[in-house]
Amino acid sequence: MSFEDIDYIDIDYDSNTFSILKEGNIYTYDLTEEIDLLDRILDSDNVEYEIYGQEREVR
Amino acid sequence: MKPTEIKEMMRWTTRRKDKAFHIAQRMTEIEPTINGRKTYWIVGRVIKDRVVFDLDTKDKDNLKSVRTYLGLTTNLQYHTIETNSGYHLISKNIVTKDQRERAYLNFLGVGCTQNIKDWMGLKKEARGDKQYTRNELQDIAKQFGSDFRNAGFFKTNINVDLLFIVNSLLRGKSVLRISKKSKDDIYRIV
Repeated sequence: MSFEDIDYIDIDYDSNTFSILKEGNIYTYDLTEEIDLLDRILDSDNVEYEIYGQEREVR
Repeated sequence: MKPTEIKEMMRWTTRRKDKAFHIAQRMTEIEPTINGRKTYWIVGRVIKDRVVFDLDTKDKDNLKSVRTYLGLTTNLQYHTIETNSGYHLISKNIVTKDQRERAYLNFLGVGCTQNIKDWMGLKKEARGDKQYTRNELQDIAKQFGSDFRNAGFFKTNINVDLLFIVNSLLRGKSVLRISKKSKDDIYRIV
């Protein structure tokens, strides 16, 4: 599965979800897994996000 | 980009938050569980224009000591954010690249970045070409603080994540996790 060209559709803060259009399918994910504090105290210009792996015990 | 390619890269950057969370979620789903452990893919926010410190302990006396030491060495004001296992200290001031580097070096009590680069190079050379598992790399990371102090770089006894500082210094950016580990993850300004 390719992660390129994911078409973002919508973020719904009322239901805490965001939806993505990909290969004709809509995927909806829960936004409650996100910490948004930094967005409130830091500038929002030129923001970058990094994805990295961390091994730990399975809950 | 395929999931296997992302895994080989280990770290991946995007400007789109929704995409970052999507990739992290999908990557985590396909990771195998081995001996009760698996790799969780995490989203972090990149910070390049502030000075950031990470404390891995809830010890309030230590926090006070770190803040005092920061005041003496960096001359900046800080937000204090409580996390599950400690604190993040983020400068309220926006700083230039040079000011950021100088703040870290003053805090560490090191004259120039090259000293640390040279020491890191020697450590890398000593490890040779061996391919380490992620678990082994995490053990090396845990050992980093005492190795760094033993090399004579940081002479105070306050408890601060030295690997986080060195990574921030050498990579020119700090990365703070913004994906929760659990629904009740603590993350608040104190």
